[in-house]
Amino acid sequence: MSHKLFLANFSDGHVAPMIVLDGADPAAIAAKITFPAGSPPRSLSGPPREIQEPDLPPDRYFRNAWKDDGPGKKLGVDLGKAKAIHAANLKAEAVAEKRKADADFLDALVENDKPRQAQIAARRRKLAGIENRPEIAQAQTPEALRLLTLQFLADN
Amino acid sequence: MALLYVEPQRITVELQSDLLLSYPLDTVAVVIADNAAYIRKNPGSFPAGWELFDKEPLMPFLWREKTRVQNGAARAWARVGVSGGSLSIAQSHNVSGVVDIGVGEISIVFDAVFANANWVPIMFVERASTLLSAANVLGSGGKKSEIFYDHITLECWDDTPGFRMKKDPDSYGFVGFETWVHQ
Repeated sequence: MSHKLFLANFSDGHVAPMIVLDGADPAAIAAKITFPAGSPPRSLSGPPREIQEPDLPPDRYFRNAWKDDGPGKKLGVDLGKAKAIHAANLKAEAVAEKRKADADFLDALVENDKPRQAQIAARRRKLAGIENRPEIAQAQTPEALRLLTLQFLADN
Repeated sequence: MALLYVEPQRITVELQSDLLLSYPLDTVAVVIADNAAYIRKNPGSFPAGWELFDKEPLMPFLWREKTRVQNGAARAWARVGVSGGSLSIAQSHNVSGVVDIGVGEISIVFDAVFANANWVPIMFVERASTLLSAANVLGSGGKKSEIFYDHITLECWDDTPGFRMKKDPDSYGFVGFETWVHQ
């Protein structure tokens, strides 16, 4: 069954692309959108408008920061929201890496491998609070943010 | 032009090639002719006592019946892929739209609605994509759904211990069942 793509806009700038199947009313579908508990209060800011697949960003890393830059333009990324997303992702990655480091540190303790213990402890210190590094706040574009990977920040 | 079949114990109406209504003869009968529909429980002699319906307001009733096939058959389903920046519908039944609410959240809106919100959903998510490190997607699963009579919202959470967050899976799957009570 063929379909069209529409974009629903909300009062806080959030956007929701909608796949609307043939014969369905995009406004009726948009009116049924509900957000999970804990989401900020939102209301539709207007009727949904038709968009094309190429109008969407090529990946979903900053999905919750997508914003509508208006008809005829591709969806943009809200830099402030993007920084918050990137910081949360870095924190999650750091949590996982620190957990692995803890296991490695135990092994080094058992083996009484002092140099290895010191190496792991140093790496762990670099991961602490990595989501608050000033480079994140200073990034000027979403693309610049993406370059600030956990590996890059921990090594620099 | 509709076709009407009267069997010893049942009456069946074919409105379109894919729409069959079948009822016990002693409880309900429907006649569709051109753009009009006649329906009545406990049918008497036609046309006296029969109610005339315009086809248009009757259509939601008819389409609802179309998907309420029989107990044991699913009433709605969808498989929604997540790739690149967008969602895609691989297969669906009785779905009018899919909304990309955000990372790890979609809404599936039904064409013919359920009778109420007490229907039975089954959902799953295919392995979460590795937007972060592989370790962070361990334990991902469909965690939650909010059920309404006309749509369902599905969420996918990464259950990494100590840091839970919503993540996009590679695909969502969903099937909905509802007990059919013969009116």
